[in-house]
Amino acid sequence: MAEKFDAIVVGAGPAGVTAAYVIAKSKINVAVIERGEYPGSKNVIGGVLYIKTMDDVSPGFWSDAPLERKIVQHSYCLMGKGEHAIISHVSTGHSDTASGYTILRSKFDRWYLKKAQEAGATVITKTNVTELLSNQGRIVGVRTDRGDLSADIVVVAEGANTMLCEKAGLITKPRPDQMAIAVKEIVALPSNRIQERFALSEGEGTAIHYIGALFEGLVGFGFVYTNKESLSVGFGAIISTMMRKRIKPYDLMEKFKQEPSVEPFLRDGVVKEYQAHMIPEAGYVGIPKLYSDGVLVVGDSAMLANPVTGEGADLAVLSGRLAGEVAIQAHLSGDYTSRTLAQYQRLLSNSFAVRDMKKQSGLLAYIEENPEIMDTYPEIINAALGIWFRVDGSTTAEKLRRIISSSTSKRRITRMMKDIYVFGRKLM
Amino acid sequence: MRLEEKLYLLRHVVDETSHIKIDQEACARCTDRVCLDICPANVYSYVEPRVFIAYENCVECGTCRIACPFVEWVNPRGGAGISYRHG
Repeated sequence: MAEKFDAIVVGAGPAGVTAAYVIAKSKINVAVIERGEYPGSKNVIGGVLYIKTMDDVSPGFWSDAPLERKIVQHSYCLMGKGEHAIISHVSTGHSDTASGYTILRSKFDRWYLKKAQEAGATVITKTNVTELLSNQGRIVGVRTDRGDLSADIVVVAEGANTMLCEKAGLITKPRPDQMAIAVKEIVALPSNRIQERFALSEGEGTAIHYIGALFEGLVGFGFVYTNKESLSVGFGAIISTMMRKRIKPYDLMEKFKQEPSVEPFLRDGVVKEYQAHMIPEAGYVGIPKLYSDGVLVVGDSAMLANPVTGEGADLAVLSGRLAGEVAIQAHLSGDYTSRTLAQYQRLLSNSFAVRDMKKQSGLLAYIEENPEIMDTYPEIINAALGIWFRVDGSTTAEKLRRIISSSTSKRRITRMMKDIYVFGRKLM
Repeated sequence: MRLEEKLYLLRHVVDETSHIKIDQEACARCTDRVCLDICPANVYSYVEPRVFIAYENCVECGTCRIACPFVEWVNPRGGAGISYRHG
Protein backbone atom coordinates (compact mmCIF):
# COMPACT_ATOMS: atom_id res chain seq x y z
CA MET A 1 0.00 0.00 0.00
CA ALA A 2 1.50 3.32 -1.07
CA GLU A 3 2.13 5.96 1.57
CA LYS A 4 -0.68 8.52 1.53
CA PHE A 5 -0.55 12.31 1.79
CA ASP A 6 -3.43 14.75 1.59
CA ALA A 7 -1.51 16.64 -1.09
CA ILE A 8 1.63 16.02 -3.12
CA VAL A 9 3.56 18.77 -4.90
CA VAL A 10 5.88 17.71 -7.72
CA GLY A 11 8.86 20.06 -7.97
CA ALA A 12 10.50 22.43 -5.49
CA GLY A 13 10.73 25.57 -7.60
CA PRO A 14 8.95 28.78 -6.61
CA ALA A 15 5.54 27.57 -7.85
CA GLY A 16 5.66 24.21 -6.09
CA VAL A 17 7.14 25.49 -2.85
CA THR A 18 4.61 28.31 -2.64
CA ALA A 19 1.76 25.80 -3.05
CA ALA A 20 3.30 23.53 -0.41
CA TYR A 21 3.89 26.43 1.98
CA VAL A 22 0.28 27.67 1.67
CA ILE A 23 -1.15 24.16 2.07
CA ALA A 24 1.13 23.26 5.00
CA LYS A 25 0.17 26.43 6.86
CA SER A 26 -3.42 25.10 6.93
CA LYS A 27 -2.21 21.99 8.78
CA ILE A 28 -2.83 19.80 5.75
CA ASN A 29 -0.45 16.87 5.26
CA VAL A 30 1.56 17.86 2.17
CA ALA A 31 4.74 16.45 0.62
CA VAL A 32 7.05 18.17 -1.87
CA ILE A 33 9.01 15.88 -4.17
CA GLU A 34 12.17 17.29 -5.77
CA ARG A 35 14.34 15.33 -8.20
CA GLY A 36 17.48 17.39 -7.59
CA GLU A 37 20.23 16.70 -5.07
CA TYR A 38 18.99 19.76 -3.18
CA PRO A 39 16.39 22.45 -3.93
CA GLY A 40 17.65 24.81 -6.62
CA SER A 41 20.15 22.35 -8.05
CA LYS A 42 18.18 22.08 -11.32
CA ASN A 43 16.62 25.52 -11.33
CA VAL A 44 17.54 28.57 -13.37
CA ILE A 45 16.23 32.14 -13.36
CA GLY A 46 17.46 35.06 -15.45
CA GLY A 47 18.04 36.71 -12.16
CA VAL A 48 15.30 39.11 -11.03
CA LEU A 49 12.41 38.07 -8.79
CA TYR A 50 9.67 40.70 -8.49
CA ILE A 51 8.55 40.50 -4.91
CA LYS A 52 4.89 41.57 -5.05
CA THR A 53 3.43 38.08 -5.43
CA MET A 54 5.69 36.78 -2.63
CA ASP A 55 4.34 39.49 -0.37
CA ASP A 56 0.80 38.44 -1.32
CA VAL A 57 1.56 34.95 0.05
CA SER A 58 2.29 36.42 3.46
CA PRO A 59 3.25 40.08 3.98
CA GLY A 60 6.92 40.53 4.76
CA PHE A 61 7.74 36.84 5.14
CA TRP A 62 10.29 37.15 2.34
CA SER A 63 12.36 39.70 4.26
CA ASP A 64 14.82 37.10 5.57
CA ALA A 65 15.22 35.48 2.12
CA PRO A 66 18.72 35.39 0.63
CA LEU A 67 18.13 38.28 -1.77
CA GLU A 68 21.15 39.59 -3.66
CA ARG A 69 20.49 43.21 -4.65
CA LYS A 70 17.39 45.38 -4.83
CA ILE A 71 16.98 46.53 -8.42
CA VAL A 72 17.01 50.34 -8.44
CA GLN A 73 18.13 50.77 -12.07
CA HIS A 74 16.32 49.29 -15.07
CA SER A 75 17.84 49.84 -18.50
CA TYR A 76 17.20 48.92 -22.09
CA CYS A 77 20.27 48.74 -24.27
CA LEU A 78 19.56 48.97 -27.99
CA MET A 79 22.49 47.37 -29.76
CA GLY A 80 23.48 48.73 -33.14
CA LYS A 81 26.50 48.05 -35.29
CA GLY A 82 29.39 50.02 -33.85
CA GLU A 83 27.02 51.99 -31.63
CA HIS A 84 24.41 51.45 -28.97
CA ALA A 85 21.86 53.50 -27.06
CA ILE A 86 20.90 53.02 -23.43
CA ILE A 87 17.64 54.11 -21.83
CA SER A 88 17.74 53.93 -18.05
CA HIS A 89 15.45 54.56 -15.16
CA VAL A 90 16.87 54.99 -11.69
CA SER A 91 14.55 54.81 -8.72
CA THR A 92 15.47 56.14 -5.34
CA GLY A 93 12.17 55.95 -3.52
CA HIS A 94 10.07 52.97 -4.55
CA SER A 95 8.47 50.75 -1.95
CA ASP A 96 10.06 47.36 -1.34
CA THR A 97 7.07 45.28 -2.37
CA ALA A 98 6.93 46.91 -5.81
CA SER A 99 10.59 46.07 -6.44
CA GLY A 100 12.56 43.28 -7.96
CA TYR A 101 15.55 41.63 -6.35
CA THR A 102 18.26 39.58 -7.95
CA ILE A 103 18.43 36.06 -6.55
CA LEU A 104 20.64 33.00 -6.91
CA ARG A 105 18.55 29.86 -7.01
CA SER A 106 21.07 27.67 -5.19
CA LYS A 107 20.55 29.89 -2.14
CA PHE A 108 16.99 31.13 -2.62
CA ASP A 109 15.31 27.78 -3.34
CA ARG A 110 16.94 26.19 -0.29
CA TRP A 111 15.68 29.01 1.91
CA TYR A 112 12.19 28.81 0.43
CA LEU A 113 11.84 25.06 0.75
CA LYS A 114 13.00 25.34 4.37
CA LYS A 115 10.15 27.81 4.97
CA ALA A 116 7.65 25.26 3.66
CA GLN A 117 9.27 22.55 5.76
CA GLU A 118 9.03 24.72 8.89
CA ALA A 119 5.35 25.27 8.07
CA GLY A 120 4.91 21.48 8.19
CA ALA A 121 5.54 20.22 4.64
CA THR A 122 7.35 16.91 4.17
CA VAL A 123 10.35 17.30 1.85
CA ILE A 124 11.52 14.44 -0.34
CA THR A 125 14.61 15.18 -2.47
CA LYS A 126 16.61 13.09 -4.98
CA THR A 127 13.36 11.53 -6.15
CA ASN A 128 12.08 11.72 -9.69
CA VAL A 129 8.38 11.50 -10.40
CA THR A 130 7.95 9.47 -13.57
CA GLU A 131 4.20 9.35 -13.87
CA LEU A 132 0.93 10.66 -12.43
CA LEU A 133 -1.16 7.76 -11.17
CA SER A 134 -4.80 7.75 -12.15
CA ASN A 135 -7.84 5.76 -11.28
CA GLN A 136 -10.96 6.06 -13.43
CA GLY A 137 -9.72 9.31 -14.95
CA ARG A 138 -8.84 10.89 -11.64
CA ILE A 139 -5.26 11.59 -10.50
CA VAL A 140 -4.69 9.71 -7.25
CA GLY A 141 -0.94 9.90 -6.70
CA VAL A 142 2.50 9.74 -8.27
CA ARG A 143 4.93 7.05 -9.36
CA THR A 144 8.52 7.85 -8.43
CA ASP A 145 11.80 6.07 -9.03
CA ARG A 146 11.62 5.13 -5.35
CA GLY A 147 8.04 3.87 -5.23
CA ASP A 148 4.45 5.05 -5.43
CA LEU A 149 2.82 7.70 -3.25
CA SER A 150 -0.87 8.46 -3.15
CA ALA A 151 -2.66 11.75 -2.50
CA ASP A 152 -6.08 13.35 -2.73
CA ILE A 153 -4.60 16.08 -4.86
CA VAL A 154 -1.38 16.46 -6.86
CA VAL A 155 0.04 19.89 -7.71
CA VAL A 156 2.34 19.60 -10.73
CA ALA A 157 5.23 22.09 -10.69
CA GLU A 158 7.62 20.15 -12.90
CA GLY A 159 8.94 23.23 -14.68
CA ALA A 160 9.34 23.97 -18.37
CA ASN A 161 9.85 20.31 -19.26
CA THR A 162 6.27 19.13 -19.03
CA MET A 163 6.63 15.38 -19.51
CA LEU A 164 4.27 14.48 -16.65
CA CYS A 165 1.50 16.78 -17.86
CA GLU A 166 1.91 15.55 -21.44
CA LYS A 167 1.85 11.90 -20.39
CA ALA A 168 -1.31 12.51 -18.35
CA GLY A 169 -2.95 14.20 -21.35
CA LEU A 170 -3.23 17.53 -19.55
CA ILE A 171 -1.23 19.48 -22.11
CA THR A 172 0.30 18.94 -25.53
CA LYS A 173 4.04 19.14 -26.06
CA PRO A 174 5.03 22.76 -26.83
CA ARG A 175 6.25 23.67 -30.32
CA PRO A 176 9.68 25.25 -30.98
CA ASP A 177 8.00 28.62 -31.61
CA GLN A 178 6.41 28.51 -28.15
CA MET A 179 9.59 28.07 -26.13
CA ALA A 180 12.83 30.02 -25.76
CA ILE A 181 16.23 28.63 -24.94
CA ALA A 182 18.16 30.80 -22.50
CA VAL A 183 21.79 30.44 -21.50
CA LYS A 184 23.42 32.26 -18.64
CA GLU A 185 26.71 32.63 -16.86
CA ILE A 186 27.50 33.62 -13.32
CA VAL A 187 30.52 35.93 -13.53
CA ALA A 188 32.20 36.64 -10.19
CA LEU A 189 33.36 40.18 -9.38
CA PRO A 190 34.09 41.84 -6.01
CA SER A 191 31.08 43.76 -4.69
CA ASN A 192 32.90 47.12 -4.61
CA ARG A 193 33.86 46.69 -8.27
CA ILE A 194 30.22 46.00 -9.12
CA GLN A 195 29.09 49.09 -7.24
CA GLU A 196 31.68 51.32 -8.90
CA ARG A 197 31.08 49.87 -12.35
CA PHE A 198 27.30 50.31 -12.27
CA ALA A 199 27.12 53.41 -10.00
CA LEU A 200 25.32 51.57 -7.21
CA SER A 201 25.29 51.80 -3.43
CA GLU A 202 25.59 48.75 -1.23
CA GLY A 203 22.60 46.44 -1.61
CA GLU A 204 21.45 48.16 -4.79
CA GLY A 205 21.37 46.49 -8.16
CA THR A 206 20.84 47.05 -11.85
CA ALA A 207 18.99 45.16 -14.57
CA ILE A 208 20.00 45.79 -18.17
CA HIS A 209 18.03 44.26 -21.04
CA TYR A 210 19.58 44.11 -24.49
CA ILE A 211 17.89 43.93 -27.85
CA GLY A 212 19.14 44.66 -31.35
CA ALA A 213 21.75 43.89 -33.94
CA LEU A 214 23.50 40.95 -32.27
CA PHE A 215 20.30 38.94 -32.42
CA GLU A 216 19.69 39.70 -36.10
CA GLY A 217 16.96 37.43 -37.42
CA LEU A 218 16.39 35.94 -33.97
CA VAL A 219 13.57 36.88 -31.66
CA GLY A 220 15.98 37.24 -28.77
CA PHE A 221 17.13 39.39 -25.91
CA GLY A 222 20.16 39.59 -23.65
CA PHE A 223 20.59 40.61 -20.02
CA VAL A 224 23.08 41.68 -17.38
CA TYR A 225 21.94 41.63 -13.74
CA THR A 226 24.01 42.41 -10.66
CA ASN A 227 24.19 40.05 -7.71
CA LYS A 228 26.13 40.81 -4.52
CA GLU A 229 29.41 39.44 -5.79
CA SER A 230 28.64 38.32 -9.31
CA LEU A 231 26.81 39.21 -12.47
CA SER A 232 24.14 37.09 -14.15
CA VAL A 233 24.79 37.45 -17.88
CA GLY A 234 22.94 35.73 -20.64
CA PHE A 235 20.45 35.74 -23.45
CA GLY A 236 17.36 33.93 -24.59
CA ALA A 237 15.85 33.37 -28.01
CA ILE A 238 12.80 31.60 -29.40
CA ILE A 239 13.89 28.04 -30.30
CA SER A 240 12.33 28.08 -33.78
CA THR A 241 14.33 31.18 -34.69
CA MET A 242 17.53 29.61 -33.31
CA MET A 243 16.82 26.52 -35.41
CA ARG A 244 16.37 28.66 -38.54
CA LYS A 245 19.59 30.58 -38.01
CA ARG A 246 21.56 27.47 -36.96
CA ILE A 247 23.51 29.38 -34.33
CA LYS A 248 24.96 27.49 -31.40
CA PRO A 249 23.76 29.00 -28.11
CA TYR A 250 27.26 29.08 -26.65
CA ASP A 251 28.71 30.79 -29.72
CA LEU A 252 26.07 33.51 -29.46
CA MET A 253 26.81 33.81 -25.73
CA GLU A 254 30.48 34.46 -26.47
CA LYS A 255 29.53 37.05 -29.11
CA PHE A 256 27.20 38.73 -26.65
CA LYS A 257 29.93 38.91 -24.03
CA GLN A 258 32.27 40.55 -26.56
CA GLU A 259 29.77 43.31 -27.43
CA PRO A 260 31.12 46.80 -26.61
CA SER A 261 27.94 47.40 -24.59
CA VAL A 262 28.56 44.28 -22.47
CA GLU A 263 32.30 43.53 -22.35
CA PRO A 264 33.35 46.47 -20.08
CA PHE A 265 30.91 45.29 -17.40
CA LEU A 266 32.42 41.80 -17.35
CA ARG A 267 36.10 42.77 -17.50
CA ASP A 268 38.30 40.78 -15.06
CA GLY A 269 35.27 38.73 -14.04
CA VAL A 270 35.64 35.00 -13.46
CA VAL A 271 33.03 32.62 -14.87
CA LYS A 272 31.76 30.46 -12.03
CA GLU A 273 28.93 28.62 -13.71
CA TYR A 274 27.26 28.11 -17.07
CA GLN A 275 23.54 27.32 -17.19
CA ALA A 276 20.81 26.69 -19.72
CA HIS A 277 17.07 26.52 -19.37
CA MET A 278 13.87 26.85 -21.40
CA ILE A 279 11.32 29.62 -20.96
CA PRO A 280 7.69 29.25 -22.06
CA GLU A 281 7.00 32.11 -24.49
CA ALA A 282 3.64 31.25 -25.97
CA GLY A 283 1.90 33.80 -23.77
CA TYR A 284 -1.80 33.52 -23.06
CA VAL A 285 -2.64 31.26 -26.00
CA GLY A 286 -0.16 28.75 -24.64
CA ILE A 287 -1.88 28.42 -21.27
CA PRO A 288 -3.63 25.05 -21.28
CA LYS A 289 -6.40 23.77 -19.02
CA LEU A 290 -4.64 23.73 -15.68
CA TYR A 291 -6.85 21.41 -13.70
CA SER A 292 -8.48 18.03 -13.90
CA ASP A 293 -9.88 15.66 -11.29
CA GLY A 294 -7.31 15.50 -8.49
CA VAL A 295 -4.65 17.67 -10.15
CA LEU A 296 -3.55 21.29 -10.60
CA VAL A 297 -0.72 22.62 -12.80
CA VAL A 298 1.39 25.63 -11.76
CA GLY A 299 4.41 27.77 -12.77
CA ASP A 300 6.41 27.14 -15.95
CA SER A 301 4.48 23.88 -16.43
CA ALA A 302 1.39 26.06 -16.81
CA MET A 303 3.28 28.20 -19.38
CA LEU A 304 3.06 31.15 -17.01
CA ALA A 305 5.70 33.55 -18.28
CA ASN A 306 5.18 37.01 -19.68
CA PRO A 307 7.29 37.51 -22.80
CA VAL A 308 6.83 41.29 -22.68
CA THR A 309 7.65 42.05 -19.04
CA GLY A 310 10.03 39.13 -18.56
CA GLU A 311 8.18 37.99 -15.43
CA GLY A 312 8.23 34.28 -14.72
CA ALA A 313 9.24 33.38 -11.18
CA ASP A 314 6.77 35.82 -9.63
CA LEU A 315 3.96 34.36 -11.75
CA ALA A 316 5.04 30.94 -10.54
CA VAL A 317 4.61 32.19 -6.98
CA LEU A 318 1.20 33.67 -7.85
CA SER A 319 -0.02 30.41 -9.39
CA GLY A 320 1.40 28.39 -6.48
CA ARG A 321 -0.51 30.51 -3.99
CA LEU A 322 -3.81 30.25 -5.89
CA ALA A 323 -3.38 26.49 -6.38
CA GLY A 324 -2.58 26.11 -2.68
CA GLU A 325 -5.69 28.04 -1.70
CA VAL A 326 -7.93 26.01 -4.01
CA ALA A 327 -6.36 22.76 -2.76
CA ILE A 328 -7.29 23.82 0.78
CA GLN A 329 -10.90 24.46 -0.33
CA ALA A 330 -10.97 21.03 -1.94
CA HIS A 331 -9.62 19.45 1.24
CA LEU A 332 -12.21 21.20 3.41
CA SER A 333 -15.11 20.28 1.13
CA GLY A 334 -13.78 16.78 0.42
CA ASP A 335 -14.41 17.41 -3.28
CA TYR A 336 -11.24 17.04 -5.37
CA THR A 337 -13.01 16.94 -8.71
CA SER A 338 -12.78 19.51 -11.49
CA ARG A 339 -15.88 21.15 -10.07
CA THR A 340 -13.88 22.56 -7.16
CA LEU A 341 -10.51 22.76 -8.88
CA ALA A 342 -11.79 24.83 -11.84
CA GLN A 343 -11.83 27.73 -9.40
CA TYR A 344 -8.00 27.80 -9.68
CA GLN A 345 -8.07 28.62 -13.37
CA ARG A 346 -10.80 31.22 -12.84
CA LEU A 347 -8.75 32.97 -10.15
CA LEU A 348 -5.64 32.82 -12.29
CA SER A 349 -7.45 34.19 -15.36
CA ASN A 350 -8.69 37.13 -13.30
CA SER A 351 -5.21 37.93 -11.94
CA PHE A 352 -3.33 40.99 -13.19
CA ALA A 353 -0.68 38.74 -14.65
CA VAL A 354 -2.85 36.57 -16.83
CA ARG A 355 -5.12 39.46 -17.87
CA ASP A 356 -1.91 41.14 -19.02
CA MET A 357 -0.82 38.05 -20.94
CA LYS A 358 -4.28 37.80 -22.52
CA LYS A 359 -4.17 41.40 -23.67
CA GLN A 360 -0.78 40.83 -25.27
CA SER A 361 -1.68 37.59 -27.00
CA GLY A 362 -0.68 37.69 -30.63
CA LEU A 363 2.05 40.27 -30.09
CA LEU A 364 4.83 37.70 -30.04
CA ALA A 365 3.37 36.01 -33.11
CA TYR A 366 3.45 39.40 -34.87
CA ILE A 367 7.10 39.84 -33.91
CA GLU A 368 7.93 36.29 -35.02
CA GLU A 369 6.32 37.02 -38.40
CA ASN A 370 8.29 40.28 -38.60
CA PRO A 371 11.52 39.46 -36.75
CA GLU A 372 13.26 42.46 -38.34
CA ILE A 373 11.34 44.65 -35.86
CA MET A 374 13.72 43.47 -33.15
CA ASP A 375 16.77 45.02 -34.79
CA THR A 376 15.36 47.66 -37.15
CA TYR A 377 14.03 49.91 -34.39
CA PRO A 378 17.22 49.79 -32.31
CA GLU A 379 19.05 50.67 -35.56
CA ILE A 380 16.71 53.59 -36.29
CA ILE A 381 17.13 55.00 -32.77
CA ASN A 382 20.91 54.56 -32.85
CA ALA A 383 21.20 56.26 -36.23
CA ALA A 384 18.96 59.13 -35.11
CA LEU A 385 20.96 59.74 -31.92
CA GLY A 386 24.20 59.40 -33.87
CA ILE A 387 23.10 62.18 -36.25
CA TRP A 388 21.75 64.32 -33.41
CA PHE A 389 24.93 64.23 -31.31
CA ARG A 390 27.37 64.76 -34.20
CA VAL A 391 28.80 68.22 -34.65
CA ASP A 392 29.64 68.28 -38.32
CA GLY A 393 28.62 71.75 -39.45
CA SER A 394 24.98 70.82 -40.19
CA THR A 395 22.19 72.93 -38.80
CA THR A 396 19.64 71.41 -36.44
CA ALA A 397 17.03 71.52 -39.20
CA GLU A 398 19.33 69.63 -41.56
CA LYS A 399 20.01 67.03 -38.85
CA LEU A 400 16.31 66.51 -38.22
CA ARG A 401 15.65 66.07 -41.95
CA ARG A 402 18.49 63.52 -42.12
CA ILE A 403 17.05 61.68 -39.11
CA ILE A 404 13.67 61.42 -40.84
CA SER A 405 15.10 60.19 -44.12
CA SER A 406 17.45 57.77 -42.36
CA SER A 407 14.57 56.35 -40.32
CA THR A 408 12.18 55.95 -43.25
CA SER A 409 14.90 54.34 -45.33
CA LYS A 410 15.12 51.59 -42.70
CA ARG A 411 11.38 51.01 -42.39
CA ARG A 412 8.62 52.47 -44.54
CA ILE A 413 6.28 54.91 -42.79
CA THR A 414 3.26 52.71 -43.53
CA ARG A 415 4.99 49.75 -41.84
CA MET A 416 5.89 51.89 -38.83
CA MET A 417 2.29 53.03 -38.53
CA LYS A 418 1.17 49.42 -38.59
CA ASP A 419 3.78 48.43 -35.97
CA ILE A 420 2.69 51.26 -33.70
CA TYR A 421 -0.95 50.30 -34.15
CA VAL A 422 -0.35 46.62 -33.35
CA PHE A 423 1.89 47.33 -30.36
CA GLY A 424 -0.49 49.99 -29.06
CA ARG A 425 -3.51 47.73 -29.31
CA LYS A 426 -1.74 44.78 -27.70
CA LEU A 427 -0.18 46.69 -24.87
CA MET A 428 -2.81 49.26 -23.93
CA MET B 1 36.11 31.01 -23.19
CA ARG B 2 35.55 27.60 -24.79
CA LEU B 3 32.44 25.58 -24.07
CA GLU B 4 34.56 22.68 -22.77
CA GLU B 5 36.01 24.97 -20.09
CA LYS B 6 32.52 26.08 -19.09
CA LEU B 7 31.19 22.55 -18.91
CA TYR B 8 34.19 21.62 -16.80
CA LEU B 9 32.93 24.04 -14.11
CA LEU B 10 29.69 22.10 -13.67
CA ARG B 11 28.89 19.47 -11.11
CA HIS B 12 27.16 16.38 -12.48
CA VAL B 13 26.14 13.23 -10.66
CA VAL B 14 26.54 10.80 -13.53
CA ASP B 15 23.89 8.13 -13.95
CA GLU B 16 24.96 4.71 -15.23
CA THR B 17 22.40 4.81 -17.99
CA SER B 18 21.52 7.53 -20.47
CA HIS B 19 18.32 9.52 -19.92
CA ILE B 20 18.41 10.46 -23.60
CA LYS B 21 17.58 8.11 -26.42
CA ILE B 22 17.07 8.73 -30.10
CA ASP B 23 15.02 6.89 -32.63
CA GLN B 24 18.14 5.83 -34.56
CA GLU B 25 16.22 4.80 -37.65
CA ALA B 26 14.44 8.16 -38.01
CA CYS B 27 17.63 9.96 -37.00
CA ALA B 28 19.56 8.23 -39.80
CA ARG B 29 17.07 9.60 -42.34
CA CYS B 30 17.20 13.14 -40.86
CA THR B 31 19.06 15.68 -42.97
CA ASP B 32 18.44 18.63 -40.70
CA ARG B 33 20.30 17.43 -37.55
CA VAL B 34 19.29 20.50 -35.58
CA CYS B 35 20.49 18.70 -32.41
CA LEU B 36 24.09 19.39 -33.41
CA ASP B 37 23.52 23.15 -33.17
CA ILE B 38 20.69 23.71 -30.71
CA CYS B 39 22.10 21.93 -27.64
CA PRO B 40 23.77 24.43 -25.29
CA ALA B 41 25.99 21.70 -23.82
CA ASN B 42 27.01 20.13 -27.14
CA VAL B 43 25.63 16.76 -26.07
CA TYR B 44 25.07 15.63 -29.67
CA SER B 45 27.81 14.91 -32.17
CA TYR B 46 27.78 13.22 -35.55
CA VAL B 47 30.37 10.59 -36.15
CA GLU B 48 29.75 8.65 -39.34
CA PRO B 49 27.37 6.83 -39.50
CA ARG B 50 25.29 8.15 -36.62
CA VAL B 51 24.60 10.75 -33.93
CA PHE B 52 26.28 10.12 -30.56
CA ILE B 53 24.94 11.35 -27.23
CA ALA B 54 27.26 12.55 -24.46
CA TYR B 55 24.39 12.42 -21.94
CA GLU B 56 26.72 13.00 -18.99
CA ASN B 57 27.16 16.62 -20.16
CA CYS B 58 23.42 17.32 -20.37
CA VAL B 59 22.27 20.39 -18.38
CA GLU B 60 18.63 19.26 -18.63
CA CYS B 61 17.18 22.29 -20.40
CA GLY B 62 15.12 19.97 -22.63
CA THR B 63 15.58 22.10 -25.75
CA CYS B 64 16.43 19.05 -27.88
CA ARG B 65 13.11 17.50 -26.91
CA ILE B 66 11.30 20.53 -28.35
CA ALA B 67 13.55 21.02 -31.39
CA CYS B 68 13.89 17.40 -32.54
CA PRO B 69 10.99 14.99 -32.93
CA PHE B 70 13.25 11.91 -32.68
CA VAL B 71 14.71 12.58 -29.24
CA GLU B 72 13.23 10.70 -26.31
CA TRP B 73 14.30 12.76 -23.34
CA VAL B 74 13.35 11.99 -19.73
CA ASN B 75 14.64 13.29 -16.40
CA PRO B 76 17.71 11.50 -15.06
CA ARG B 77 17.09 9.33 -12.00
CA GLY B 78 16.40 11.30 -8.79
CA GLY B 79 19.56 12.93 -7.43
CA ALA B 80 21.46 12.36 -10.69
CA GLY B 81 22.35 14.78 -13.46
CA ILE B 82 23.21 18.46 -13.26
CA SER B 83 23.63 20.09 -9.84
CA TYR B 84 24.03 23.86 -10.12
CA ARG B 85 25.93 25.31 -7.19
CA HIS B 86 26.22 29.06 -7.84
CA GLY B 87 23.35 30.39 -9.95
